[in-house]
Amino acid sequence: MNEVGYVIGLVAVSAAVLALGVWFVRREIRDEVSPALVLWTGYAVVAAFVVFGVVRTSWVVLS
Amino acid sequence: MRTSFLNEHSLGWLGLAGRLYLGFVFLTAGIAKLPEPTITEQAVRSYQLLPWQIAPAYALALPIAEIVLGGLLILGLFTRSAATATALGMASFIVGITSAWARGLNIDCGCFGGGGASADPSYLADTIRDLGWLAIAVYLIVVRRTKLALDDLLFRRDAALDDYSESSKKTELGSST
Repeated sequence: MNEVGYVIGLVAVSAAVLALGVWFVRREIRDEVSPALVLWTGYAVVAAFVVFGVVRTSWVVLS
Repeated sequence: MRTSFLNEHSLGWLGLAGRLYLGFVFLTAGIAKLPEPTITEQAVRSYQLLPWQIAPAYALALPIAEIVLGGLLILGLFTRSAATATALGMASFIVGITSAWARGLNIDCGCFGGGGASADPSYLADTIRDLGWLAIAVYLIVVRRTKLALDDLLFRRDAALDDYSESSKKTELGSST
């Protein structure tokens, strides 16, 4: 498997997941499932985990 | 009306099946790793992803987290939060396995104990299996309610009462007309 191709795929999939996450949080807020602050805080934690994972993995794979 | 009633119920039962299955998978994985922290540490290091110093703490924390998440899923307690954490865990395992594959490492995933160098790694099978488990975790996040969950007993009391009072109103209105 090509390392550069792997990293491009990883970044693309992660960006798609984060975009889907925004859609999901907005849907949950619209349906009043939980307070908006709680949902956006949860999203920020998940997004931070995803971004850290992508950066770390990309760094290791490409180095 | 009848169709939506059936759908809601079948989705809830499907959620229960997913919860129990994924819960037992995580519980089994955690119990398998817990008594062997040095072997788990070796498995973590073989991925060459985390800094060397973090591996012992990660090897200790991972099985405990898996057992806790497995227990929460089986009980249906904090289901959506537990499913979110499970999905993140599965995603990180998939990234670990596929990155090892991309780098040409020959390791065993160590998902249920063991791990380290392997002459015959099964990256494709492990990735497909983990994608299936990730799909179940995502379903549990999206479906909102599952059957026989402690969440319903502890946190949805008001909602249950609202449902009851709504149905009572309809019955009363129906009987008065």
